[in-house]
Amino acid sequence: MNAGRFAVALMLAAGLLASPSAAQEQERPAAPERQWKHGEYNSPLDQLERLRLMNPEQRERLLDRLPPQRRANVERHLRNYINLTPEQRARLREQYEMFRQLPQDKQQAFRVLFGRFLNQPPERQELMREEFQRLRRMTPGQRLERLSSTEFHYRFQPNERDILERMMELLP
Amino acid sequence: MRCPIDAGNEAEMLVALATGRLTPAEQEAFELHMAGCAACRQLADAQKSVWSALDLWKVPSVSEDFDRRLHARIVAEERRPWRKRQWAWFSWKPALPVAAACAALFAVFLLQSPVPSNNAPAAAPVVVQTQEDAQKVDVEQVERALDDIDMLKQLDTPASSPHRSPAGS
Repeated sequence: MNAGRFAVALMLAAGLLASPSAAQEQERPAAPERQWKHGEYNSPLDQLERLRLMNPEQRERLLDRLPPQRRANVERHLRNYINLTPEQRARLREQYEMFRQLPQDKQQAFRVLFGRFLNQPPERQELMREEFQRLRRMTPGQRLERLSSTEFHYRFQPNERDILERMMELLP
Repeated sequence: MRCPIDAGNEAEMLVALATGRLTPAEQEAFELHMAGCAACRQLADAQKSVWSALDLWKVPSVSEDFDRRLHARIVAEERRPWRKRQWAWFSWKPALPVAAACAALFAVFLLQSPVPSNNAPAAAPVVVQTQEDAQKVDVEQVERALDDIDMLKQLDTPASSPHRSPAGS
């Protein structure tokens, strides 16, 4: 074989290997992998978005850190969240942001009230949900009037009234 | 005599000098000029050395049976099957370095283009998730957020027909 031609070919290959992009790759200092400490994370919604957009393997690795029962719970809630339409997700995100603005003790009190709501029979839950949504659409004055109305007292039992009234007190 | 370099006709003058096409008067004038012009003298010396080298080159003589062997090869070529004749131009000698260069190019291409994982989604992902992104997720915070979102969703929508009416805000 012609040694000259072979040498030219090798020089061409060497030149390509030393091309600017390859050189840049080699010269670029490896960025140290940042270790995120607790409290340095972005908002929970940002993190939730990251989790939503992860591929199944990455998500699996992350959820492996949770005990089985909690993991199953997260997976179920995440599945529901993923299955929402973008509009529904946007709406819930907005409501969640509003909820997050509440002081921690109020958030916790609301969660307790929601637990009591879940203890009601399904048909009563449905009635209470409708009332909750109606009250949320009202102005503060209308809400006060409604909560002291005969109809409200007639329609709901004391325990149900207590849940609804206190939920309204907690939310802005 | 005007300097041929300045006049821009030094090439013609030098070739004419080397090939003896200058008239005796022109040659004498040019030689007189060169005696006082180092640049022209240098050019003329270089030209002379080229012509001397060409004079020394001897054309290799053609062997006596060159014509006979040439005709024999032409006849043999014409008798070859057409498929073989199609590849007659091909020679491994130039092909090998070209193949080596192509292999090197391919290697460079592979090195610079990461091979996608089999597990990656077929469509281009909107967000590229890196290990760093995964580290940015506090799974316990996300767990609480999901619980709260589920709570708000249940209050917002009836169980039977999701998202019927807004919860208000």
